[in-house]
Amino acid sequence: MSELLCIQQAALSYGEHIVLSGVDLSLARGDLLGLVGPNGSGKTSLIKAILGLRTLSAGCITIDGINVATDPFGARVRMGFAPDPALLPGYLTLRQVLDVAASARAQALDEGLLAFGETLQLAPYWDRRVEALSLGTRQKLAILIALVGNPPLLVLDEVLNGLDPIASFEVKQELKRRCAAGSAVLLATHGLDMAPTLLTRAALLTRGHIAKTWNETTIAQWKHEDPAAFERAVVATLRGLDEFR
Amino acid sequence: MSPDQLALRLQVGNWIAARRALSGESLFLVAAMTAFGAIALVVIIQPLAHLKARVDQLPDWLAVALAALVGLVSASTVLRNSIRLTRHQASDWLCALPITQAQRMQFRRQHALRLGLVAALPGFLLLAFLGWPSPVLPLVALSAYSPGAWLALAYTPRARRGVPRRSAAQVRDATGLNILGASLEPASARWPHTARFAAASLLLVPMGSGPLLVIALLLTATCLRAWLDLMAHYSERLTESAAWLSAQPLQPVRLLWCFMPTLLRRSALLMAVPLLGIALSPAPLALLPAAAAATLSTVHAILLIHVERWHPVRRQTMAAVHLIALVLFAQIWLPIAFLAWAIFILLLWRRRHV
Repeated sequence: MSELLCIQQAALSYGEHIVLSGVDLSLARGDLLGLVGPNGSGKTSLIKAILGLRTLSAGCITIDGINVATDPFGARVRMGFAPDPALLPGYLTLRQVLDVAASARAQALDEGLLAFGETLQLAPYWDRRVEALSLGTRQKLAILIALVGNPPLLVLDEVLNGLDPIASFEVKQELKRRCAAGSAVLLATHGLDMAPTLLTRAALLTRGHIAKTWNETTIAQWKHEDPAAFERAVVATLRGLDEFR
Repeated sequence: MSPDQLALRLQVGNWIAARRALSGESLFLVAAMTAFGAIALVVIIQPLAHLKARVDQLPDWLAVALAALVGLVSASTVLRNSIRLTRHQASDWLCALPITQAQRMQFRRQHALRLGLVAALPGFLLLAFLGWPSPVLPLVALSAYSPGAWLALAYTPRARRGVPRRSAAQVRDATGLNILGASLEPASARWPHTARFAAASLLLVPMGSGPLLVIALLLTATCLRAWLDLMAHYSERLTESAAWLSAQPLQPVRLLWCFMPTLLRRSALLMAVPLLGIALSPAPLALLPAAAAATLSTVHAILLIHVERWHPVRRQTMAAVHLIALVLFAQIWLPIAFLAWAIFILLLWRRRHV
């Protein structure tokens, strides 16, 4: 099966508040899909459903053929997620956090991951406690947690926020490298300007449903001809929707 | 070893390393706490002996029933910890990692049991003292505690969805019964929902009886704990508020004034129960010094929290220093303790703009 992530008619609600309805989305190996949308459109809820932290009211989500609802453990083995930097344990050091994350995957800490951490300029901080770190440094750590164990699917929610220019560049390069090597990345982001140079596909989520998708050909065309076109396309689509008039 | 256990082990290791790094301060804290414990023991040994005499007069069945009650109440802490850990695990940084539910549940149960045993220890020691030399009372408590703890661990609470509920209380605009509700709220967030029914059952105990003394002691301990919860809760809120308002043209003392009246009111309500108990006791005149001690402690704690809001470790150390000094002065000559308190308050007040 080439599809790493398959979302079919996903629906989610909190009480009477409908958060997601009829969401269809799929990611094949090599895809780097950007999930964009206004605040409160359901991006984070969709990601939590993919992680198995929210139970869908309808539809299903599979990771590499494994149903998240019935086997969340099996699904999580195949995906990496960068947790919210605010949730990272302040009482542990950076290296200890990575050790704990590696132990969850029954693996020793990969030297390659530590080397990437040093590329992100984390070397001076390995033995410092998380509580003493800046937001950007915590964000780098959260990204490393997602990469522990080289999972084939990466689910990333606004991970480029707060990163310095070098780290932001290196993370984007790493994501591209991983996709080229056969992984897939779902990246929820508001950074529309960098989308054409980074993404292979994009989907616009509004009011809990996918309003529009852009395929690889369109994005590649924008990348070469007009890098600002994606931002204009998203804004135009949003303005064209009834709820934004 | 599960990731949860590994994280806990690393956390404990880091704590020990940090304490070793501050060896002087750590040594002082240990010495201060030991001294305070020794003084507290000397102070409470007489009331405890009085309590033991009263318990000795109780019919056997009643003493056994009280010991069983203490065991069951102690078991409720296991339930409380289990619920808290379940909700924490539902949204912590490990929740999206491939860890089996069985692993997480096992850690949760072990940790809740450990915390529950630590919380139950003072009650069991008190019963051992009251029943000495017979071991019946602590054994009865333990035999009530064990099935209670087992049931608590077998219960799997439903993880709350969305943003976890913060034990937030309104700072202003609370009147009448709302104040009482808001006062108890931070503490009640830590209690199981059945606690209120257990509390209501205390009304069945006849006034002036021996059991009432034991229950009054339990209630006083509960209120003291609720007061500590209230202080910890507002300490967190004050620090949070100070952090996000620090860039605004707002003098820190204005923030303090915002919190102080509410905290005083709520502390007064929490202390009302033990103070009422003293008023109804054979020594009602003890009410005045007890009320004064409660008020002075609250003012002192609030000011200490405010001044050391950026340095919680220093707050602990300074609180220990002040407490030891006040207790020692009170042992020598009580009026000096009031004078020392006034000096401490003055020193803290002068640093209120820090």
